[in-house]
This record gives sequence, C-alpha cells and structure tokens, in this order.
Amino acid sequence: MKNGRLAALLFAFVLAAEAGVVLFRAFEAVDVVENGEEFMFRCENVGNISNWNMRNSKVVPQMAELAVEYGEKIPPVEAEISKAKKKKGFPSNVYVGNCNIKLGVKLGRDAEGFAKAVSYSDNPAGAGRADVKLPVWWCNFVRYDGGKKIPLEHAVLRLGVPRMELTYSRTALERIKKYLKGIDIKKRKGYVVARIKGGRVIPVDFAVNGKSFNEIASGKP
Amino acid sequence: MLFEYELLRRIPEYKSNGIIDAQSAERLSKHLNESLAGWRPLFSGSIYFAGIILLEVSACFFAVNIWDGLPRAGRLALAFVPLIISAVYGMFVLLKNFGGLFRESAAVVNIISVGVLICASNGALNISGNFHSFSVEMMCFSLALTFLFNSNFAAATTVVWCAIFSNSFHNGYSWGVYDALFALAFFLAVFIFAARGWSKAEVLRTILGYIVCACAPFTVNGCAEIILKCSLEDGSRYYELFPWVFHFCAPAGLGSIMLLAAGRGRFHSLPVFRMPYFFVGLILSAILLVQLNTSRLFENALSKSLDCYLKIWEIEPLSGAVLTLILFAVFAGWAAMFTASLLLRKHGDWGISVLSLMFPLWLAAVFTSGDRYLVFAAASNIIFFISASVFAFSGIGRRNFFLLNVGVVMLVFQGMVRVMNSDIEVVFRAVFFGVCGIILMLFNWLLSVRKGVSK
Repeated sequence: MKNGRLAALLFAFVLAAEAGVVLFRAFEAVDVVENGEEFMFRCENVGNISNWNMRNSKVVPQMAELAVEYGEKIPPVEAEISKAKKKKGFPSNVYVGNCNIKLGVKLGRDAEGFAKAVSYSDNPAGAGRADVKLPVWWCNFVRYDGGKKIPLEHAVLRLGVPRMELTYSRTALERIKKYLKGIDIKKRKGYVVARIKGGRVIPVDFAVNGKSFNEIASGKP
Repeated sequence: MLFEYELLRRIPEYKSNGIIDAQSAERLSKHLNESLAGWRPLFSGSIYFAGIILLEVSACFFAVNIWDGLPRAGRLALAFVPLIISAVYGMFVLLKNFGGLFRESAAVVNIISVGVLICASNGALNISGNFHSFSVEMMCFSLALTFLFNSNFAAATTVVWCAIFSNSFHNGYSWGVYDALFALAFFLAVFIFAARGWSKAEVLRTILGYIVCACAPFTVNGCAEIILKCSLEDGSRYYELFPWVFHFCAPAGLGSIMLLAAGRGRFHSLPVFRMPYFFVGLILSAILLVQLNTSRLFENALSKSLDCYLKIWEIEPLSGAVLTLILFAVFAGWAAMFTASLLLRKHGDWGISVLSLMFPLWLAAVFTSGDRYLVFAAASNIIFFISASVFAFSGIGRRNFFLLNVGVVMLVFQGMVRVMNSDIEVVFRAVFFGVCGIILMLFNWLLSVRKGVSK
C-alpha cells in the first residue's frame, strides 16, 4: 500500500481488532470467574508431577470423565453401537469419540460435592438449561471387576471434561512442588475448582488432598 | 536490480581504467540511477531488521522476568506491551513510507506481538487454549498485514497456517465446511499476492513463491477432505468409502495445472529459481509415475476407487455431488490450461504439455477401477519418457543446462522407478545407476563443448 496515511489508518483498525479480540475474551473470562457457578471436577491419575503435565508455569491435570445414563438416543452413537453389536464379544464398551458429538450437559453435585452429569441433550437449546457442552467418548455396556466383564443394567455415556490449564509463577510452582514432595504418590487425590457460565468453563484453583494450590502459591502456611 | 547496482558501483573504476569515456560514464550513471530510484539492496536494512527483532525479544524476556511478582491485572497489562511497541513501530514505518525490510520487520513484530498477547492473556486468565480460534485469529491478522505492509513474511505465515489449519482436521478438532472454505479463500488471496510478483527479481517474493507452492497441495487436499467428510452424515464412513482417493487427487490436479502454468510464455524468460510451480508440478508428476508403476500402490489406491465413487452416490448423493464438482473443477482447470499452453506455445515447450498428460491418465486409472495395471504403467512411462526426452533435446538445442538436466534427471528417475519395481539382481541395479551417472556427466560435458565451440 503506497499511501502511507491510509495504510496507517487501516493498520490502526487492525491493531484495534487485535486488542479488541483479546479484551473481549478477557472480559468474558473475568465475568465467568466473578459470576459463574462453581463446580469441583475430579482429576484422575494424580500420581507424580509429570502426569499433570506440569511444565514451565502451567499445570494441566488429567481430568476424570463424567458419566451419565444413556437414555435419549443419539443417532451417531446408535450407528456405532449397531456396528459393535454385530461383532463378537458384545456386550463391550463402544468407542464413539470419532463421531465428534458434543452434548449439552446439565451438571449437578454428588454426595461429596463433586460435579456430576445430571442430564444431557444433543439439542441443548430445546431441552432445558445446559451448563456446558461436552464431547462423548465412550458408551459403556459393561464394567470390569477384577478382570471379569459384568454387563451393566443401563448403558452409560462417558463424557470428556474440558482441558483445564492453570498458570502459576515459577516461585509458586516451587512451593507447590515442595508441598507435593511430602505426600505419598498413591495417596494423592486432586480436583479442579472451575466456574461455569454460558457454557464457558474457567478453572480457578487446583487442590490436592484438600489443600488449595492458590493458597500454597500465595505462601500461606 | 542487483546487476544495475553493481554496475553503477564499478563505473568510476571503468572510467579511470579507460574502458569507458567520461561521457559514456555520465550517461550510464544517469540511466542506472534512474532505474535504481527507490530500490535498496536487500541486506542494506538487515541490521535494522535484526535490531528490531532483538528489541522485541528483549521486551518479551523482560516481561517474563517480572511476570512472577505481578497480580493478574498487571500481567494482562504487560501482555499488551509488545503490541504497543509493534503499533508504534508499524505506524512510524507506514507514515514515513519506509520500504523493504522495514515493512517486513513491522509485520513480523506485529505477528509476534499478537501471538504473545493471546498466549499471555490466556495464561493470566487460565483460559484453556483453543487451536481453532487461535488459528483463525492469526490467519486473519496475518493476511491483513500482508496487504498493509506488502509483507512476504506475513503472507508466508498466513499460507503456512492455512496448510496446518486444513490438516488439523485429523487431530480430533471439529472443523466444518466453512472452515475449509475459509482456509481455501485465505490461501487463494496469498496465492494471488505471491503470483503478482513472481516475475520480479525479488528474493523474498521468490522464497514466498516456493512456500506457497509447497503448501498448496496440503491445503487443497486437507480442505477437500474436510468438505467431503463433513458432507457425509456419518463422518467416520469417509474412511470406509475413500481409503486413498483424495490423498492424491488434489495434489495431482493442482500440480498439473501449475506445471502447465509454467509453460505460458514466460518459461524461458524467467530464471529457474523463479518458477516454483514448475518444480512442485514436476515432483507431483513424479509421484504419480511412482503410483502408476508400483503394482501394490496401484491396486491399493486405485482398484477400489470406482466402487467407492459409485457407492458414495448411493449412500450420500450430496457428498457424491461435492466430490464430482471438485474433480470436474480440477479437470476443467487442467483442460483450460492445457489448451492455452498449446495455443500460446511460443517457445516449443512440448515437454511441459506432454508431462501434464499424467494427470488425465491418473484420473482415467481412478475411473477404470485401476484394473489395467500394465496399460497404465506403459502409458505413464511413455508420457514421462517423451516429456523427459523433449526437455533434454530442447536443452541441447538451445544450449540450456537447466532444460538438459531436467530431462536427464527425469530419465534417471524413470529408470530408477522401473528398476525398483523389477525383480532383477542388485548388481544390475548398481550397473544401472552407474550408467545413469555417466550419462548425466556426458550430456553436460557435450553441452559444455557445444557452448565452447559456439563461442
């Protein structure tokens, strides 16, 4: 572009768009953190530090899937199930993650206060309030008990929980690592505290054995 | 321009040695100064370019160093610092009408700043990364900067991102038809931007040409795959119906078209390094030769293709229509360019036109279920051999090393493909390669002798 002033004007628009996109997302995230409903999500495989993908300044825990009874039929899931039924060894657990299905899920709390899937719909707009959209990975027809396959009374959908990333400073991470060193790997139980609003999920804290990482990071005894 | 610049630099020396007189030196200097007006050597601004990039990196390191002690709002504010630096620098470059590497550096600094801003703000607010939206944002901003700063770096960023974006469909991301069309539109915009300057002697634009051509098959292939898979009601069925077809369809068509584009008039007026489409087309044609000559590949890729094509019409008429449309568009593009190359043939570039016949031959193999291996293997070899011979002989005729070597390399490659697909002894293979090497050296020596004689 040869006209310098016009180019500068257009560049100003691009800069405004760049800043605008980030600010919009930031305000939305702040709104979710301040006004969203709080849920606790279980983490699975809380073993050593590498399992949480704790690199640089980010902690990315492996989230446990949510389960919900498979009631309302979902056509792509049904197609995969009918294929699996033709194979030997059925009943088995059927992987449906290839179909990229996302369901609108209403969340509740179990006896321990952790998030659980209460109901779902593949059309969230038409079936009451959905808290969050979650992908379906598996449809379980059996459970394993000591290597033995036991058919379930009702099929269960296993839903993926969104990736949760928590950023800490390097000083905070050193404190967290020091805390974790004192706990036996096998006895570690972790969960993520997240706030949800309008389908957006923002993690606000991570805790192991009831001790908040935010508290550890702040240096409180 | 580099030649004119060098000549201008040497005029005083020629004048003092008495090679040219004072009057001629003055006239020549005036003419060269006029033609070099506004032009700067590429690396004259490279120190500034490096300096600006170092400043930006320094700002990022500084931010990382004090990041720990800041509250969330402070981190968010700090994330904007690189963008502010890039804004000031970009405005300065545009308002002062700086050119060349200043504009390139302004675009690069802005792209880095936006990337840092998005990642840093996401980190400060614990927002989980979303590759889809990040890619869309970066592509949009890069494309805008491409045209604003006339920047090759920004264009390269856009086109590489298009290729990555369209091929990330396999990694569990839920891309849709609009995403594919979006990537195609962006790719096309950069393609036009790059093609406008291929005939100019700009190093950066030439490098961009290579990047665009290298990304083209990946982008088109990825987008065609997304469109087809999304148009199927059950997306997973895609892999049942189309085990191989699209893995070669888009590159083959695109490569053939680009190959032919090279033959339209400018072929001999351009130096070799400014013909990226020619090289990409040549490589893709070689891939087609391998596929049509390797019985296992031929059977796996092509034997089921007609069945798949008919089956998809039965199961999903919409997908069948999309596939037919893509194939027809590619074929129509090839036919138009082929006709144009024959009509506009000014330099006798038969080699390119003949080689482009590999594409309809490959299509014919697809639509005859690939059950006549010997026929297609023979036909593809004849086409490749004629094309290679034409290149080699026209190279000798015009005393052009490039054309000669393209022809000889094609012949050697064809021989290698045949040798690899035959059950002959290793010693014969060794002899074959040795003979090929001698032929290559002999041809070049003969041409050197001819050139020497003509002088």
